[in-house]
Amino acid sequence: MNKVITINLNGRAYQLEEAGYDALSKYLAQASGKLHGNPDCDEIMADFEQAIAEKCDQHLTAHKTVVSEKEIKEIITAMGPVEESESKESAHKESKNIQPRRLYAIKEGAVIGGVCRGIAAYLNIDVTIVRLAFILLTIFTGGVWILVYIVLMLVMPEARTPEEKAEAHGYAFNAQELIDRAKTKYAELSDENHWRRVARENEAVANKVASVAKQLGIFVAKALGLILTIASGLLAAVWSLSMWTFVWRDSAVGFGKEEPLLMLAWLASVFLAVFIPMTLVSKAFLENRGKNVKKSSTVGTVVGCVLWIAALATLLTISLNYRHRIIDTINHNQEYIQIRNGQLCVGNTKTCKPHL
Amino acid sequence: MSIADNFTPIRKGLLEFAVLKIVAAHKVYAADIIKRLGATEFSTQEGTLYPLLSRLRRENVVSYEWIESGSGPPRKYYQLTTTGRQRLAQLEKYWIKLRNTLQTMGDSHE
Repeated sequence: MNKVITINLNGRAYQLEEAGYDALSKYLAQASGKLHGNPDCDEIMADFEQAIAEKCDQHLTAHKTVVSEKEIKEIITAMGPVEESESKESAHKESKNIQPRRLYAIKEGAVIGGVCRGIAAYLNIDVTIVRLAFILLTIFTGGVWILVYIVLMLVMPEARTPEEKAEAHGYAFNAQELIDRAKTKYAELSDENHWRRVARENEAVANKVASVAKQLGIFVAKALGLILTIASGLLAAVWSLSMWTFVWRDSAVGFGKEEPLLMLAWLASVFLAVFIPMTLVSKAFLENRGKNVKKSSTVGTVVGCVLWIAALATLLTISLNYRHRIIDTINHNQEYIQIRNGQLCVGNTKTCKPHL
Repeated sequence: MSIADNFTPIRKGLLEFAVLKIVAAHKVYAADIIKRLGATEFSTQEGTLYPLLSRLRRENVVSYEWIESGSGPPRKYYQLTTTGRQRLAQLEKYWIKLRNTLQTMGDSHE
């Protein structure tokens, strides 16, 4: 049992199921919208109502006095969408009533000040494009564009009254235009397909944003990882090289000759500290070129990381244990570099050069 | 897509011609026209026909009169006006011209 709505079709009363009534009023609203500007609009609408009435009659009997939703939908399908009849005169006419536009700042849907929205409405282009252009301009002018934006925000008047809002978009502001737009909007809003399409489009946009963000995130993570490993590798290399200079030098301080095992450990740690990060990083990039990720590589990665940490620890320990020696070396070398009698003397050999 | 879909714009353009020929033959009302066209390739719907008839009436090519019907409200019965008859004659001549052109297209050895 559902509700019945009684309507008047060209002077006769018809009873429709509620859902059928909704479908029919939507159809008639669309038709009326499409006929806007047609001088015979009312007459054609009356013809439509008459045709619909006659089709309804075919479904009614003495015992069946209500037109079902299904029957109404069949009738709407049979009637078909309203097509503008082209003639030599109407082919030139624009159905949209575009008045001269004015540049306003539009607050509805604005992010900051409505500047981009106003410009988009004035130029009849998509807001997103305008916003993108503004961002790019900001980047390319090194931030100077922000001043321009602020000026625009102050100078552009805000569209407050409905007339101003209409002028901003270039619509004629009169009762007829409003009614027609309201009708097409109503028809659009009650159209299921419209909402399904909107939902699908929004979903697609959301998916795209998510995938871009994910890719960006992956890229940033990879870049960070790369920078960190290279940096640590380089640091280890530089550090060990400088240690080498101090330690292996043919000087009084140094454990290289006396303690070969220690020197070996030092060398090995240096090698691992530099080599392992480089290997891991290049492997990671190779994997991402589409090659299959083998299970063994995970184990290898873990082993590599452990070895690397061990190497760094070894370097650290050796350096700490021999820090006094290292400091002595530094002091010693400072002693060796002296300026005596206007001459630069380096090292034990007392080779002196004229100080420049 | 069937071959008929290729010719949809052509059928749309010729619909006026077809409707005028039907109206020239008898006094008809809209549902009549739809029924007769329905049996042909020019089958069409109310959504298309009513605006077309309305434009033809505006151009004074057809006129209508209300005739009472036994079963229900009065209906508009359409007929051709003098202008309409002239228009139809012009269309007939042009149509034959087009048909001949297409028929002999590609035959000449110039």
